[in-house]
Amino acid sequence: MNISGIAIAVVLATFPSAIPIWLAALGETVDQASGVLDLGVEGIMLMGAIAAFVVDYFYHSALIAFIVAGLVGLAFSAVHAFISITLNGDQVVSGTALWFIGWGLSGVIYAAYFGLAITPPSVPTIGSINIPVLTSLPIVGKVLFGESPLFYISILITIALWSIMFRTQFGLNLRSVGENPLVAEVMGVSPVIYRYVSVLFGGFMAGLAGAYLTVGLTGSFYFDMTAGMGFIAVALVYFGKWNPWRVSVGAVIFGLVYALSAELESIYTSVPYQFFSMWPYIATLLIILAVGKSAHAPDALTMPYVRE
Amino acid sequence: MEPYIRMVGITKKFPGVVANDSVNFEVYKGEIHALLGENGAGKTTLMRVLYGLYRPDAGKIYVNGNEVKIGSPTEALRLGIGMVHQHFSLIPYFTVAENVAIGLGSWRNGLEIEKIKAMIKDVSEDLGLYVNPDAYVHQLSVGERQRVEIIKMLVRGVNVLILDEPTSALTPQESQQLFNVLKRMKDGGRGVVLITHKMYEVMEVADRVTVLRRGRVVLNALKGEISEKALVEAMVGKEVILGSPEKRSVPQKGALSVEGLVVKGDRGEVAVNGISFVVRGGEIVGIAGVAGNGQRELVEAIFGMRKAVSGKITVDGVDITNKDIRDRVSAGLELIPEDRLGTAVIPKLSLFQNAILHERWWDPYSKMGVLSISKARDLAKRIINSFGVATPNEQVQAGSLSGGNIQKFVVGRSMARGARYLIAVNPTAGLDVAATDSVRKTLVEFRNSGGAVLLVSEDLDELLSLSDRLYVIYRGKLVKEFLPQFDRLAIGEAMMGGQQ
Amino acid sequence: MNYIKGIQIVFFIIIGLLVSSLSFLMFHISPLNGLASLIDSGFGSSIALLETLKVTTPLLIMAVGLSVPFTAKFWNIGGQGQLIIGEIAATATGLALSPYLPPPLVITASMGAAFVGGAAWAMPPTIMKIKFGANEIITTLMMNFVAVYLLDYLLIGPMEGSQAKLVHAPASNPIPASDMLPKLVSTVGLSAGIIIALALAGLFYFILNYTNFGYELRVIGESRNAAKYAGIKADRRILESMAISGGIAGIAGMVLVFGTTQILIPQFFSDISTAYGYVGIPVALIASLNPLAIIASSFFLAGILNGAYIMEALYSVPIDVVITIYGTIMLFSMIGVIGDVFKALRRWIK
Repeated sequence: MNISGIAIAVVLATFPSAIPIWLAALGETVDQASGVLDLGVEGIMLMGAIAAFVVDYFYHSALIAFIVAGLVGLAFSAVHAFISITLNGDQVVSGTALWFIGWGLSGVIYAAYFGLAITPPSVPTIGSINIPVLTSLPIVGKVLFGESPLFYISILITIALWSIMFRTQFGLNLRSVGENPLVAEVMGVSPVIYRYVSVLFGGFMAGLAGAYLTVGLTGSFYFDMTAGMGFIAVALVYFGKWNPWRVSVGAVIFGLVYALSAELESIYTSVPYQFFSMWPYIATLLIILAVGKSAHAPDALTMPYVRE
Repeated sequence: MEPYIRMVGITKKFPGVVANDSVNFEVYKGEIHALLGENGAGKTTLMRVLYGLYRPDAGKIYVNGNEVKIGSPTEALRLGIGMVHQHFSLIPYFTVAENVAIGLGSWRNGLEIEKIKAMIKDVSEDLGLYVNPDAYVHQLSVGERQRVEIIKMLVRGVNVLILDEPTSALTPQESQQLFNVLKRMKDGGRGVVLITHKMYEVMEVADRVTVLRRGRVVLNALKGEISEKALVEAMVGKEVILGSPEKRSVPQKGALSVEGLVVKGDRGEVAVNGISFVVRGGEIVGIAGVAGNGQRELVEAIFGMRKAVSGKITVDGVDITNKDIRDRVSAGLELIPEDRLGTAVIPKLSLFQNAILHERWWDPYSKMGVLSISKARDLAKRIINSFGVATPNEQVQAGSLSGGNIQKFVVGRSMARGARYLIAVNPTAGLDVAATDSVRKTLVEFRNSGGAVLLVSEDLDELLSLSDRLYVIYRGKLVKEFLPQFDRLAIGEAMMGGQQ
Repeated sequence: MNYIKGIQIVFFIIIGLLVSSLSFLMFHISPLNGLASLIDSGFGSSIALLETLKVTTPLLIMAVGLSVPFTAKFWNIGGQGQLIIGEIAATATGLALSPYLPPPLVITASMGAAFVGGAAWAMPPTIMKIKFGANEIITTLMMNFVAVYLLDYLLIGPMEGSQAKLVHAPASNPIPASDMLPKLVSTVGLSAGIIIALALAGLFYFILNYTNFGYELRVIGESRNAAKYAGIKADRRILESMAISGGIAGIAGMVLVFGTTQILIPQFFSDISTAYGYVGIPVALIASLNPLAIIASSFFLAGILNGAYIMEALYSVPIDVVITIYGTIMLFSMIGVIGDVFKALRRWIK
């Protein structure tokens, strides 16, 4: 394969690999902007993945599958919201617990429906939306205008989130809750409501992200199929400095890393595949290193808000 | 004329204290009403009730003649009542305009910063409240931050503005500017409540004064009707509070000496820029200054919590500039930090665990790194008994004590280990009158017994009453030394950078 | 007061267990029957108890190791990676030295290598945190994935065993039987590792509660400013605590290989049975990081793990159910940790 062939293959695979991290990271961005760290994303993604898979398998509707996955994610994050916002519990511990629950429960649900079969069942994946004319443009045509619907949805959500967070009263209120909930409350902004809304939104997005993995990308469910994507999403929020645009850029960079390591793995068969597979994780370490201490995190991140 | 606000028979109890005991209080539009009293007299509590932060145990509140229940600051704001606290509630990483905009208008609205700026201009221009709406709050001085707080309230259309000890961290000149703003607000038809314990502020700006003592109203009069002397009597009653220490002891041998000290701040800026001074045994040396002029960095560098870029710090002639805190403590240095619950004690640890925060390095509290719990408990008991810390026992969490008792414990801890050089930062901030008294007495006794105290405080009155001499710090430099009798205005000028 | 809190936590753990047992419904097993069967399989007979002790061994070691940095609120989620590197270091050392040295020395050297390996693997995230403020939860976790792939590679590369090559199943050569840890109960293969585990728990109970080191970690965990004021070199203590934690995780890996498995096999996360690095997290947390309580919690969770294997064999309930149970227990124990749950709720409702 020549260089341009490789390049095209990598570019084509970039957005599909980016989407799950992208969606989850956008949700986590809102979460953290309001001052709540949700480490349960990984588990919630898995729950979204299994929920979407089961729904699509039995009811043959990708749309319903996505909606149900989002709602499952929302329900899961409600637990985190209750513990960290209502009970002022430790957000790290609560998030870790949710990660475990989602991690295990997704496998349990799978086994309950499909047993411990060797060959996993599969569902057809949702196709891509081809925008007429534009798709036929050389190279960029296929990449930018022939993507999965979730690609366009991710872009729309990015734009919408940025506008809401930085161009509306709601967004300012939300960010003020993340900086100093006491100040916000005195000014008539309820930290509890804003944090609940944010956490639930984050859960919904993580659910969608999981659904994309099964219904959108692979067509099957595998145990622990996220393999750290939820945590990479959390890392991207730091990289993106709590700004949806930067977070999106980070997600696309990660899509590129995934695509590149998969592509190179298939080309350089003499190099053990493990060295390509570990790339996304090493890239995460590097990206966190690159952010360094420069970013200003919301002041109240991980701090429970205790009313006097 | 009907008062805009009428509080009738307000009673508010806290465990063990009646903070307000059937208090009546009125505010008219177009007047400045001073709420006068010692620390702990119940002034702030009363106003927090009015602002919806506390619920009264008894009593009624009328606004514009209608009885109201004020359950939250939001409701208070809706009723036209605003409050500026001693500790500002601003978000440092937001701009002035963004801070003003928090919670303003429906959450469905777009954020129109230009409109907000226009509103800020609108309310602040004729009052002389100048501040750049695009500046980030962390770039502003204390005085400017206070202006932002006032603007926040005015934009919300308050009819009555409560200010809690607004001048405590301001220079006399900044205070003067503030008073001018308040007078203009009054002339514009608004009511102002000025919580204060400073007599001259009352005489300067107030139209009416209410004096609280131990939670009760002891006096309510128009300013013209009453003499300053009567006010003082009403405020302090027959108690004699510790004023300026009578006995000035003779400086002794041994000294904490700082030479050409340069220290960087959190953002890498030069925060302390070549400071030199000496504190000898038997004297209290005050450092006056507006917050943020390098006090924190200076103290942290002396105690070893921050690196000195250059310069020399010695205790009894021993160079400790680059030593660990352990060596400094061992040399006889101790610090009473400003931040009680975050730095001085660990709220979730027991008192005896807190007692050995510094002692843990030495026999008998530890041997070869192994702690002795029983010795730690003995030490805690000793501190509790000698310094009158009110606590059930030494095993309760430090955070469960009142601020005053925590501070007594912290001061006692420094004394118990036999320190000879003590740095105290705002040691009585936020304490009630009894605890303030006790802490100040301890400092004076310590001085009288030959100890050296470096007193860094934002409370000018405290500095003036305790210090044997004092320096003014401005932009990281000691700009002037003052000796008794202290010239209050000259000190204020120096704090503003007026005299070099 | 501590007893009351302890009872409250145990109470909520039981509730968590009951709630998680609802997942049995998906397999048409009544939750209480399922739970009874689970507990019976884990603790119901002397054989079951011994099997549970066998699982307890690495779990207890791991959780004790995790409790050290956790005390300073430094969240080491990388126990699994540190365990894997410990396994690799111990196995390589053991196999290399076995022909030349007597078993006690081989075991000691392997354990030392495991400690060093695990500690070294814990260093990059720790240094990244200290130097650049990088979130340790993410970095330690990422190191796990790297370790997994590294192990996978080694087992088809430099460490591939001669038997494994023939059957195309990646694995190392076995540790010679004579170099294995001595067996206490040979029928179930319970090794002397449990003694190491208990000794470590005792040692760290003492260290965390009665030494300056433990005191300093606690102060760091509660308040960084207070730590500064107390003259604590927080960065150094964190580094030390992570070296200890990684090292102990490495020892857990060594004990696993030299006490139980004898060979090294790939460890993808889909196999919870060897993911002690993860399971150790709830074990440490529900015990409120108290090493003596960790003895109890590790035994308890090991029994559930053991029981779940039998449930899988009997009723096709996948082993994954244990992670769900652990997560739920962790969640509910948190509620128990909160001083007065009902007060917190009341205050909130008001």
